[in-house]
Amino acid sequence: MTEEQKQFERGSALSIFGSDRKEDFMALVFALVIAFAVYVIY
Amino acid sequence: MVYTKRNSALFIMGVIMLAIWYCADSGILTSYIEHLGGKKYKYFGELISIPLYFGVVSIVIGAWQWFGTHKEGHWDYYSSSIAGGMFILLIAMIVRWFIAPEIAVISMSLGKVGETGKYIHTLLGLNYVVLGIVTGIIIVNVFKVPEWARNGVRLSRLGLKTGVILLGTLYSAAELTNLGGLSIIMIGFFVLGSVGMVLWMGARRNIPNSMTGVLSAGLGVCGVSATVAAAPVVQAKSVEIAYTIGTILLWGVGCMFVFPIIGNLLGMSYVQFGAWAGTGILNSAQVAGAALAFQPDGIETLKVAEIFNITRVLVLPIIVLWLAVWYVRREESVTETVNVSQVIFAKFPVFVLGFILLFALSTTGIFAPPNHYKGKYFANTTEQGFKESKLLKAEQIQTLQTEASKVQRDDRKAALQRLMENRKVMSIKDDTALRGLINAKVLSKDANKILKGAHKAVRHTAKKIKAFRQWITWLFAFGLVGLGMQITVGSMKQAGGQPAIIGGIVGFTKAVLSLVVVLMLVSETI
Repeated sequence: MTEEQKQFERGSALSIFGSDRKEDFMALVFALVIAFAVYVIY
Repeated sequence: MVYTKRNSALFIMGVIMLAIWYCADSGILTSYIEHLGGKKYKYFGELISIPLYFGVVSIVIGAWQWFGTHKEGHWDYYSSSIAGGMFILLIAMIVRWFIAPEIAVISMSLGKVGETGKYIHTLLGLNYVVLGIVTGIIIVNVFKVPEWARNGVRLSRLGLKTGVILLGTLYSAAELTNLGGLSIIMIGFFVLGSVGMVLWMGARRNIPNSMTGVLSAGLGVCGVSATVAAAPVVQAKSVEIAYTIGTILLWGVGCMFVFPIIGNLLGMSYVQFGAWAGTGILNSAQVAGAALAFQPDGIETLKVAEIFNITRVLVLPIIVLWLAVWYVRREESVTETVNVSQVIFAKFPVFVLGFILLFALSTTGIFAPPNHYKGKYFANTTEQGFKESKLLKAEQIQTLQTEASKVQRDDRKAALQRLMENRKVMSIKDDTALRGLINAKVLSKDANKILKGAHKAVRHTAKKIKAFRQWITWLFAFGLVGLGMQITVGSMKQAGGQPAIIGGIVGFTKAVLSLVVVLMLVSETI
């Protein structure tokens, strides 16, 4: 574990999420929410 | 541990955002905007909307963070990242709306550089993307990221991934058919070539198999995620993973700044540059950075680059399988067996599937009418969208006729001829050829303006598509400023030694060869 990683008790130095998979799913959720909003508003 | 601290930072950032909105909306900034380009200044619409929305959100949540009581828990953890997220966003706003245009004004006042016919800021790619990343690098290395912003800086990759997924809404099946074949051939050749080259060099330099294996995946496929996916297959140690990621980031950061400069010097088209960046740059984030740096106010280059990048990610399972077989053969004493299919299932990046999902949704026509892509307005009846007032005027045709001899390519010549005869673009094929002609800058500015007008008369971008472009631009701007804040001198030093040497040789070879192949094979100039 690098010094940078040690600074964060949760997530990693590059992400607030515990795993890449969780970050990917959150990105998917955000993208779908934005897509739905664009679909409804415009 | 309670992560959300009582701090005024988010509240103050909200006030700054509202101040920017108020100054723009009330006209206080009018003379400054005149100085930055007047009518050519593209961001006024953003100035009177985005800081208002985010300013209000920041003030409300900032007030709660400043005066409220906070208890340990998930909400506490995730809310502690909001201040850092807004910090990145505020920097992206200031760079995009004020710093980059100011540098352009200064650069233009210095005149064009020699015989290149370009201003220094264009040549060096000093636009909001590059300046945003540089600002991030300066903040983290010189001033350090403030304590209250540290959690939020780690949101940048989430922004980039969300942007990549949303990019799926902008593609049409036709575009994928055009680019898909080329990207599969190029990516197949360069990914397999890079992996093979690293494995060969690693064996010659007596580097441990686990180090060589993980480095080959990182340099060949898609950077950090490929490294992580390949690591358990070749039983890489954490220091080897760190070295590989350091090498990829170091090389990627260099490419992100150098590629756009070379692209500008060679006068590459959007498709050519996108294909080159998507093939030659190792890591997804830096591919996006270079593509946006090359074309900061449009999305065509980014679309091409991401198709190549995503094709590369799709090759990942093949490479993991290859490495598994390679590693087992070389390490006869391996005792711990690794389930390859389990590793692929566990590590394959889901956001790529998200991109494919949104592309599939887009193909059904729910975001824009399918005719948007097919050229709804090419027909000649009013019911089909044809307007008499949009036809080219006699003097415009005269201008095009005087310059027609400059056009060399047959398809463009024929398209231009049909445009002059019919006073409008007649087919999607002609439209593509004429857009290529505009991008090739063969004709004068006046003639190109007429061609752009003719294009707009027959093809409109749907409002939903415009909204998606806006979202994607901001998600990438946000992600790249945050990415800059993660590029520390320490992470650069991590790349030292043999991995850096192999990374340099393979990365350079891939960049040069892919440039040669792109210049030879890609003639599309949109």
